[in-house]
This record gives sequence, C-alpha cells and structure tokens, in this order.
Amino acid sequence: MGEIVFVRHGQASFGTEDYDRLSELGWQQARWLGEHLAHEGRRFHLAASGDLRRHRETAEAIAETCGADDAVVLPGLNEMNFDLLLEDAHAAGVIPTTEFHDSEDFAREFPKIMKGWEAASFATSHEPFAEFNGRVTEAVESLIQDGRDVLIVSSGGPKAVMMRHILGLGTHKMAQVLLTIHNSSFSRFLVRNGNLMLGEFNSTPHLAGPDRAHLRTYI
Amino acid sequence: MAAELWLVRHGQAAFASDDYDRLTDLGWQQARWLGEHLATMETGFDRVASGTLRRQRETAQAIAEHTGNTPEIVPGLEEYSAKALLENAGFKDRDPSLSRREHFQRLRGLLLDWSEGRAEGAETWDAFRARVMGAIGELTAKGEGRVLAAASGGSIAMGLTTILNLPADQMIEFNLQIRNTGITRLVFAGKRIYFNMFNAIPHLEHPDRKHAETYS
Repeated sequence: MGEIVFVRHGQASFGTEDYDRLSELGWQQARWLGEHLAHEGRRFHLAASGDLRRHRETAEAIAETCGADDAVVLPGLNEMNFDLLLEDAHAAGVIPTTEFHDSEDFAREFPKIMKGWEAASFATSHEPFAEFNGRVTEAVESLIQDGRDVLIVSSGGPKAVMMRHILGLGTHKMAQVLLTIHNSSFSRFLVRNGNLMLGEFNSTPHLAGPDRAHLRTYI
Repeated sequence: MAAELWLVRHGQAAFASDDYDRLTDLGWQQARWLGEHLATMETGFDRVASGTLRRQRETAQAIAEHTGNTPEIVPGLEEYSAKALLENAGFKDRDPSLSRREHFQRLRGLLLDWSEGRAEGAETWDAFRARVMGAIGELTAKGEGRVLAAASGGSIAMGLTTILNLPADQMIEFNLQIRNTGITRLVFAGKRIYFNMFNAIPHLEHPDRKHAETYS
C-alpha cells in the first residue's frame, strides 16, 4: 500500500510577463490545500515537485502546514512548453488561430494540438510527445515504493500523462482530461505491488463552500 | 452552456447480511453528510435522482433532505447482478469461506469473462452498458443545469469506461475503487463529455469521519 497524492500547482500568473509564479489566489489555494491535508492528519514520507517556480511555490505553501519527512525536486515533473506548441501548430496550419474567443473555442482546438504533437504532424523544437510522456512517467515511477506516501506537485500536463498511463487513455481523451484539472486539485494514485491505480481524480475539498467559489479556477 | 452530472455511489449497504439492498446506519450517515456538504454550495441541483434499487433511493432521499429537491427515479443506473454471475458460474452468492479480497478476486475474473461473453450474467454486458448510457443520456438531455444521481459502483464504472473509450478491465478497476458516497462528475458541453472528478469524498475528509470512508 501507499499512495501518490498528485497536486496541480495553484493559479499562476496568466496574462502577465511571467506566467511561472503563483498569483495571490494561487498562494491562497495552495495554503488551503496544505491546511486541509494537515487537518486530516496527513503527513508525507516524501514531497516531490518539478523545478518550475509555480511548482516550488505550491510545494512551499503546502509545507507551511502539511509536512513531509523528505523533499526532492525532479525536472522530469516539469510541464510541456505549451506556448511553443501552440505557435508551431498554428504556423503549420494545424489550428486556425492562436487567439481564442472563449474556453469552449479553445477546448475544441486543444486536442488537435496534442494529436498533432504526438503524430509529429507539425515541425517543432519541442521535445517529442513520447519523450514528454516517458520522462514524466519515469519521474513518478522513481518515487513509487510500497508503503510510502508521496506528495507530488506538478502541472496539468504531467497529471494528464499519468492518467493516460494508468487508465490507457487515448490522446484525445487525455487532452480533454488535461483541460478539466483545477488549480491546486489533487488526485490519488494508489500503489499496489508496484503498480498504480486511480483512487481519486481532481478533488478540491479545500475550495468547497460559497465563499471559496472564486478559488475554483482552471487557469 | 454545459450540463453537470454528479454520479454518487450509494452509501454503505448491508454487505454481509441477508438483504444487501438497504443502507446501514453508517450508509445513511454518509449520505446525510454528503447532503449537508452539497447544501453549502453556491448553486443547488436542478434534479436529484437515483436508480430503482432501494440503497440508491435511500441515498438520494438522504441527500435531497438537505438540498431541498424531490428525489426522482430514473431507471438504468442499477447495479449489475454479481449474484447471477457467481451462481451461473457454479459459485455461491455469499461464500463464507472466502475473505472479502478473495470474493472480489473471483468477481473480477467473472466480470472480465462476462465482458467477453464467456460468463453469463442476468443481462449481457452490452445490455448493461446500454441501460447505463441510456440513463446518463436522459439525465443530461437538457444540455444544461446540474443533476445528481445516486447509482452503484459498477454502473458508475461502466459509464466512465464508456465515456473514456476504455476496455472492460478498466471498468473493473474503477468498480473496485469507488467508495460509498464517492462523487464522480461528468461535464457535458455540446458533443464533448469531460471527466471532471472521480471518487471524491469531501464530506468525509474530517479527522472524526475516518471510519466513514468505506468500500462496502
């Protein structure tokens, strides 16, 4: 037994010069998650995060209240470079625009980018899809040990990679799963004899209640 | 515009007793706690429904007491018959010589056989899938709003497996992981269906409710 609690970072600074840092709201989300986990009496054997600033900040905010015996930073848990993929897919005509009217509009186009990336149907300097999937899976699997509870802080892309890995999702469904992952949500991957099973997906119990409705964000 | 479907597994039922199909005291408590939790949300539910089974109806009733809905019955989300699978394969429905773990191992094998037409259930695997998807279609036909439906581990697992285009063995994995009153959420936006939450128990995540996290 043992489990991985896989957390997406808190809200980052979309629309500013530097996306890669938590917004005030993002800090708040992550602190409340930490408080929630601590209140439940949880403590982790190991806390791992990617080395992006929004990952490290989220891990720091959680650690203020919910501790871990050990901490490690794994670049294998880093997010894809979505802006680069978007530009390259657009340049090759895979998607008609990089400006989207609304989230529905974006949701329609997003799976095309992921499928095009997988099939190498547009030229890009980005690491290949299979490599991204491989290094994320490898990083997570390096943390698996029966009986060990591990907190992972990463992004929506790596979480979707793990959902694909565990469930066997196709790329289209993986892309859709990625789009539904809330900031600071957690998923639980159960470790059974070295294998992972899905125990829970995309929970935000720390953001329940009308006074926290504004904290349930996707970007 | 989008429709949200919250599929909730029934509360704990009387697993080892003569009549599984009713909630235990803890099962009622789990469902009431979920109802209380949902009643604090900023938006209520347009409908609270359940399949026809008593444990599903009781769960919807306990939730609706708090959310202020009048529970309705929408057939299709009933559990598959594990009893039929076991008995048709020459086993006893409740075999006291098996541990819980052994019971589910046996059931896992039978479910896989059933999905491949090698074991006989009370209905076919495809008929089970069709009725579950029929109920999901009915509950989300309006294309908007928020609907809660009390269902069972197998029927929720079947819906999810179908929506995610996954093979039968994944249905079994979902089935075995879904906790009593665990919430699984699907969002229907036009033709797209999003898998938005699996097996969440926010209402049981308190230090004094640990005993209420149950699988059966």
